[in-house]
Amino acid sequence: MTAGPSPIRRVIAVLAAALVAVVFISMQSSPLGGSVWEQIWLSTFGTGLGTTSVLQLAMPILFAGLAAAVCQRTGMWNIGIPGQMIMGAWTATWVAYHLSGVPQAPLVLAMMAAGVIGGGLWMLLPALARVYLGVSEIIGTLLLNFVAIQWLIYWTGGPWANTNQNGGGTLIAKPLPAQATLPQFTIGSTTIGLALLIGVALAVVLAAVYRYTQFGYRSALAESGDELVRYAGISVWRTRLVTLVLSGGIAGLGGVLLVLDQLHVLSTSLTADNSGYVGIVAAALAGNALLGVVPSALLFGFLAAIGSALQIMDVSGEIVTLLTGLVLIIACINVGKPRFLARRSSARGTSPPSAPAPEPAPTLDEVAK
Amino acid sequence: MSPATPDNGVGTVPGGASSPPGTAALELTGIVKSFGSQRALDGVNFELRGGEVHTLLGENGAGKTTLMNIASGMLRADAGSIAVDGKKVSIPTPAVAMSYGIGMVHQHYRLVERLTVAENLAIGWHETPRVVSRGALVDWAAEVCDRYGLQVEPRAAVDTLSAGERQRVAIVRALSRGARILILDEPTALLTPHEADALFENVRRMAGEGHGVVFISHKLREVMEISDRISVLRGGQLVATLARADAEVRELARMTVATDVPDVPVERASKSGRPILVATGASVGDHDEGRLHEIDLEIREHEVLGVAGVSGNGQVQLAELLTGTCEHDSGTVTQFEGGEAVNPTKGVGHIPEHHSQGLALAASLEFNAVLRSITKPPLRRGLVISRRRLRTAARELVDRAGLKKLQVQRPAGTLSGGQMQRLLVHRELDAGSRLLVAVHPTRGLDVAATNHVQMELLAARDRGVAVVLISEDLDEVLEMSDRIVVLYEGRIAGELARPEFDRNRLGLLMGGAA
Repeated sequence: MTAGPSPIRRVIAVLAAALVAVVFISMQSSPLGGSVWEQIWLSTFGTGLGTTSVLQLAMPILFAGLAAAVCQRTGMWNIGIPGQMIMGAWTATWVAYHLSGVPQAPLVLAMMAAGVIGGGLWMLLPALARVYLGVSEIIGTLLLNFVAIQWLIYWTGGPWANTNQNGGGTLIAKPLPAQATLPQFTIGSTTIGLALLIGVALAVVLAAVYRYTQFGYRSALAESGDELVRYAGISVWRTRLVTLVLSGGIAGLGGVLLVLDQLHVLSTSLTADNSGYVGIVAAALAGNALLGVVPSALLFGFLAAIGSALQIMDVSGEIVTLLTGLVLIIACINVGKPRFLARRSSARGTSPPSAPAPEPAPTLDEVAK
Repeated sequence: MSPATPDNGVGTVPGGASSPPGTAALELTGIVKSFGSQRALDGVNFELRGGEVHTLLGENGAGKTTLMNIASGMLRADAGSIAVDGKKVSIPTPAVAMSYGIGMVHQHYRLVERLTVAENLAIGWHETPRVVSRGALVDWAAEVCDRYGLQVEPRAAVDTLSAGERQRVAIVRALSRGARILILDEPTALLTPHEADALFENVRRMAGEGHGVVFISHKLREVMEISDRISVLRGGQLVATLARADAEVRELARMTVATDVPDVPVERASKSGRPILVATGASVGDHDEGRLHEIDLEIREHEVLGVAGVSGNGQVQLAELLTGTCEHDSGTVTQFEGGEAVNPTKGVGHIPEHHSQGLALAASLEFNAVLRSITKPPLRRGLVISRRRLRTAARELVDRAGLKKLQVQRPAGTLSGGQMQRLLVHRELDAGSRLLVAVHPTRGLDVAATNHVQMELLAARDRGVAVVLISEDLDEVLEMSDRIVVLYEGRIAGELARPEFDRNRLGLLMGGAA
């Protein structure tokens, strides 16, 4: 049920945005000397290290993208992904501090479960407000991001502060148990984290759920709008509630995995890469197709890697933000007759006669004049 | 300045000079307008004199609003000419119409809800100063309302106003911009009786001041009350223009409804069965919105119950009430199965008024085909949906609806109106194993498809399904129904069993004149 522009249009959008980027990047020259393009190549798919970093950057975007897409598939928005990632990571960290003696596998599983619960619970408030009070989930989720960030600052700068390492703008919590880490697989010189594979597996599972279960169809019904829901007489409030909490849980899981896979500690750099927001763009580019989020997240991981490459060359990495915006705008604008043109021909009250006279009546025009 | 100032320049004088009574202020000649292949207006002539109230009477879809949209620049005619004060003019936009002194008050007023009355009066008019203080604006608005004797609080936000007050704002807006010709589109549709009386008083006063008023309506009683002259439109053609003195309610009803085709085509042996739904004193919505009032209705197996009436008299609410998709505020609605009261949502089909109400336009044909059955066995087993059965069921329905050539993965929104309607009708025929509520089921269908749908509905009736046919097409209602009730202003105005079907009587009931 992917609405919106066709896949071809999406690819064209990416290419068009890329073209703009090429022009902009070509205009830049590094004060450090050397070719910008070469550095971009080396930092991305040109080397094993580059590929590894692309995959690493794509991982949180994949989870955020899935969280966003799940919501969109029920016609709702989750703008609170960064906050849910924080709360997932925070809950998992709390669990890890309390289970420091537990071996790797159970500890990691417990942390992941805690992350899902943390992110899901964080979503519960806006979800209940949406379902029971009709409060826009966009507002609710967005505002809780700021609360979550303050929460993170409080814990990493206060009760859990790592006094040895703090400074330089980033607050870091006490270290996690050493076994709180996820396996990495190395192929050639490229390393793939288990976290990314979990993300891909999750995308597959979710795609199946939406395709093969009643839940998926109820979601599609909810996505089609309140009028149809009302018509069909099928209740979707439960579907909406579950979807929102599920979306929060997925985001929370993304937050834990970012800690386990890359950061290895709770810190305020958790949301530094903006993956929680980029994920929304990635989902939009994928047209909210759950499997489509995988390549889409990889693309945005690639873009993020380009951003770091440019920064290494001391060139502004803002081009990546620009590029992200461009992809979103070009991919999501549906070409159609603009509304103001369509209006005249479909002006209100001009519906064609539903019951044309079955036979020409004897006209009484004589009477008229 | 407005894009085209007329050479006579009278249009922009507020409350300006009106045409002398008795001469043609507005003359439309040979107006033709088509929408796609549908001809909405077919060479219509219309003349409005200064100081008269001239009613356009006709059923929905007769072309009344279309004709006046052409006069007020909302639409352009395909052929025909417009003359103002005897001068031939071209009216491409509402602004130009306004400059000729033609102002239209639309059925839903077209006001900006969040703005105040004063702001609505001033907005979008070239004579409003670019910079103006709030106080000056309010003073000006109060003065304008005063001048036309239509009192509305200028500081009030429009969304806090009643329908009658909003209408006054819309009328003042038109008058303050120099309208000498005022077109009121179904002005009483949203008003309470009391508000309607006030409106009539104002209309008479405006006419007395020399304004020409076009009054669009389908309510016979008010037409007889307010008009100086009456023009009857039917199926896009002018049937007659009469002075009120020469008009007679019964005759007007006959002219609006249809030609004298034989009333009852074939007698059918109809065995009415047990009641499957009984509504007693059921009301929906509050009185101001005027929806359904104390509906008493019995719907029986083996019977087609026709609901006649001009749309907007509660049809949509009635359909929702009967299908259990809206709550009633008072009274009871009980469904029965085999004489026992049952949970009402089972075996109920609903062909809604608009395709978009019953179809997810962005979703695939396949999804839409199974919309009703997806959450029930056999498509659903536990939590899982069988894709194979889903595909088979969807394909089968799509084929049966005569859409064999179409890919089921296609978005439903890409179908034509007729195709959507066929899909909907067949899906709801399947869903409605006990009760089928069909609202305009043949609208937008060609003759063959219309016939097909009607046969299917009758076949469903013969299987024992209770069919409720809500339609504006009186011929269809007369032909299909075993019993007819007429809805007028949210009430059941009358009930006729088949032997007593009488087109003229129905016409009177539909116009609220019986």
